[in-house]
Amino acid sequence: MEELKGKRGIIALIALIIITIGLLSSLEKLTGRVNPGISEVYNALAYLVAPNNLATWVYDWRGFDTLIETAVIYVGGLVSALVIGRGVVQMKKCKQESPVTSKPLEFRVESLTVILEYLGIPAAILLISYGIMIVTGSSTSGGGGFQCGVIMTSAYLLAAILYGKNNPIKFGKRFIIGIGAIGLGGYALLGLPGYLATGYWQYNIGADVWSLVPSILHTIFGDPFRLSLILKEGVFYSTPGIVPLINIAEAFNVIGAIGLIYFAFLYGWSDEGE
Amino acid sequence: MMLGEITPSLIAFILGIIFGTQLNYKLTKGMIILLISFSIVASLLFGVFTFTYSIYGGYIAPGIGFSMPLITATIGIIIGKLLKR
Repeated sequence: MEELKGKRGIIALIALIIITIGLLSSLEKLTGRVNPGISEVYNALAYLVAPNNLATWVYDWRGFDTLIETAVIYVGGLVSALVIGRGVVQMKKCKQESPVTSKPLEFRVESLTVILEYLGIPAAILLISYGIMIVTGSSTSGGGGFQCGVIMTSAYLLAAILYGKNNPIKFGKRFIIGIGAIGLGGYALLGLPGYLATGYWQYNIGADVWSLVPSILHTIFGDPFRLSLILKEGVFYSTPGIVPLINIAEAFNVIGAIGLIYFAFLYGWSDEGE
Repeated sequence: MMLGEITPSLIAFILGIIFGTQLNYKLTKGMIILLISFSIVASLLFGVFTFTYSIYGGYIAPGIGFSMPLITATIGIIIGKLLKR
């Protein structure tokens, strides 16, 4: 608990209180507005958000289930580290005890084939680009945050397998923790605009399916991702609102979670600097 | 043209710069040309859905999906790497 004392602890506590109040009051306000299954309001308004019902469903629920999935990864990483022992993760508290020693992972970089030596790095870099493309494509496809995180960390793992300790994709400890923290914090903070404007936590004020927010907010959060859909029946406009931003935060979150597991298991962990 | 066609490319560029700064590898001219060439091929392969009327898929070459974010992400990674030198 030492890490939670001081300024960081106060900030964490305040953030936790705000999020808890927001979530609970949102749940309380939802009383009577949500029907079992897909509501009539939802069916009536879904086409205004996305070109088809599947995409609409994905827009609304994808981000939320992914947040819980990420929590599962964090717990999985923590439990793995605990099971494997202090040989891999050595925290301050355990310093007085002798750590469990294990042989470091053996990298045999000299055995790389010519193809892997010359195409391994471009493949890893292109995987990163592909991951970014997936997450930025969420304005037309709904999800993408989790997939992006998995693809980016796959690139990291690929480079680590090929080049060992001289990993050209050098996601350091501070970088991975920073990315994870920005993702988690960003995800939580993106709930605030909706809460302040409507009283519903993480209400999508960009898409505004219930027509609750002033037009200026609708424009600010909706227009950056607005697309036109030109059909024989006419021109339709749709926007995913804040969903792409949620997906980017989620991608950062997943990169932090999986990246930390890879980092700890490949290169070991200590509280000292990198 | 709608903002939704441009914003993802800009975000991809910024994310590319962020992750490019973490690269620890000397990028040669040949490597940069290889990366951009492969990105163009990948953009054609993974292009956006045609119904969204992207810049290339909708206006210039209808029926062809072309993913600008993938190319801007690669360019961002290269620039990020050069900035970190």
